[in-house]
Amino acid sequence: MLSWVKNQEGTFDRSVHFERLMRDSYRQAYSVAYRLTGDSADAEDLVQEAFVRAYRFFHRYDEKLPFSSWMYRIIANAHIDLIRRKGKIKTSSLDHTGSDGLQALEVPDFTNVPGTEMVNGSFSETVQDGLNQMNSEFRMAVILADIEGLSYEEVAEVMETSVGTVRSRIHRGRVQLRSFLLKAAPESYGRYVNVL
Amino acid sequence: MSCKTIQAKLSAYLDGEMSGSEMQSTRSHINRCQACQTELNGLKSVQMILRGLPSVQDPSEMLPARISQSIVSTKRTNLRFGLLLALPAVVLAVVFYPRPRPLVKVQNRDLAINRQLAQDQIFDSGADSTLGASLVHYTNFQGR
Repeated sequence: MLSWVKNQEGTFDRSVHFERLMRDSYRQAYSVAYRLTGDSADAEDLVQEAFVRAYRFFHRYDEKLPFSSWMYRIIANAHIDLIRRKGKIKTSSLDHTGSDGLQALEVPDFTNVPGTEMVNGSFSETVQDGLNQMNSEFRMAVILADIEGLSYEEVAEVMETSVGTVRSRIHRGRVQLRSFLLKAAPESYGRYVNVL
Repeated sequence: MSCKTIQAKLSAYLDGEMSGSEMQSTRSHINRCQACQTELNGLKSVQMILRGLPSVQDPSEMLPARISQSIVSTKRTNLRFGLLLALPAVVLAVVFYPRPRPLVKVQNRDLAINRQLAQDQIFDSGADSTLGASLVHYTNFQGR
């Protein structure tokens, strides 16, 4: 437990303020972390690491920015560090770039595997697999925009980059995911396309 | 504009994240281009799928306590680490701290100063500061 005492001026101290914010936002932080990592244990570790960092740098937190956005930023950075440590960072190589300038993904072919007919639950797992294979910067931008519902400007603020870069990352991320789904689950994906 | 240029902008178009004139020119291209319409539908479907993903299940109820515990132990580690870093500085300060001079030396120095002051006073009063005898002041050459 962090300290829960009032200071001499009668106002709650920094630890108490932080603990309140943490308890209000940890579920949301976990949701983003889960979409980033695709695994509940890894997501919990990531959230824990992110909140420890947030506490250490809490004096730098600008209250003009929503706390959740600040946490997204820390989670994104902590996630990049985590995959670097694990040696899982994906590096873009021109050799693996398609003619449209987009990085080609290695897609497992589920089409002919018996008993893997895609339905709602398993299709969402396939979508998560697609997210996991995405370049981490594209993934974060897509998650923030399409799942968390942030505007491009808000995503740019979280990712500390320009709106133009966000525009490009979201687009390239969606194109990557579409390519993945077309190969991994063409039938389930096709249903969504046919609705349009 | 070419299809390649338009297709690179389709996500922003879909999200309404472009200027009015850009929206208009993109829309007019899509309306007369089957390939770009298909591309747009593909991106729309991805967006629809992502928005329709089920909510992530809540994390363990122990997570907030785990986070708090982790922060507390990090603070302790930092404190220990800080003390460890400070230790050499403390040792150096103890070794090199300027020590006060011995009292005897100070007393001797004060005695020497007082003696010199007394001699100066004797000299000022017109006496020989070493013998105590009156000094003869010659006012002119004949008086000598």
